Amino acid sequence: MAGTTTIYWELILRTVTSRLNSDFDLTIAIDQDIINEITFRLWSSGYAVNGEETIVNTTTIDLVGFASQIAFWIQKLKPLSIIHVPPSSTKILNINELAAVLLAEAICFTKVKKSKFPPQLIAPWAESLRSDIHSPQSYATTLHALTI
Amino acid sequence: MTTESFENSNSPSAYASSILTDHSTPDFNPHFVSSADDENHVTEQPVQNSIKQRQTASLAPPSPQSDQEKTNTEKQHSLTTTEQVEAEVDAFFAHLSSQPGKSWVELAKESNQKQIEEIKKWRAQQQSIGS
Repeated sequence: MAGTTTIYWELILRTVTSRLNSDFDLTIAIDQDIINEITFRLWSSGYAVNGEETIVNTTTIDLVGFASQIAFWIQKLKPLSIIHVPPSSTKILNINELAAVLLAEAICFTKVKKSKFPPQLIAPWAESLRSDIHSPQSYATTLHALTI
Repeated sequence: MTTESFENSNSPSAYASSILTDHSTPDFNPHFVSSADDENHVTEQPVQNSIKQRQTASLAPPSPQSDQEKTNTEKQHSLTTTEQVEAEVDAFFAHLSSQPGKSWVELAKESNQKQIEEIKKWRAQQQSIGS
């Protein structure tokens, strides 16, 4: 029988956002209402949601599936917004898609303990998330093939 | 069990395991899983104890000190979790930085700049057609 693990995905998202703030020299805000909606949608999809955390089975397929669900809802509902761009910086158009890819990869790295995903694919994949049509299932297939 | 050992013992999953198998609750008694011979005798005992414990607990006045301790423990747990998650995400970004090739941040900036320039160029063309 598979065990379970707790994924503090909101905390991971906040840490990833903080990293994006410093790497791109921007001020990014997180819309808590959208975070709540994402949490509700995870609960609707059958995940054991408990406040800011979600309990997921520890099998690779379940963890990758969960990471894909989160990434899908972040790129779709876009909880991040850039509220200030210093004159020396440039606005990043696909900041939510970058956060989605990084969050999914961070979950795989910390929970599945595998990450063969080449960092050079982060930007093109984020661009594809913005331009093309992806479902949580197609995202999971891609994430599994590229990461595990 | 093998999947649990795969996890880091310091990971937040330890909290989930402890929630799922909380042995501290009054109803829990390992004798529930004992042999069938003394099943009737054993199963009645913990229920009686449990009711007695609950009655005793409900009569006892609430202890402000224990509430304070509980709050401190919760704060400590929350702080530890935050620090641990931040450390794990930092390790992930360090892993990305250690990979050979161009940095993902530079590539994302270049891709973004290219996109912005293409949009500007398209916009200028549209305006020139309009005029």
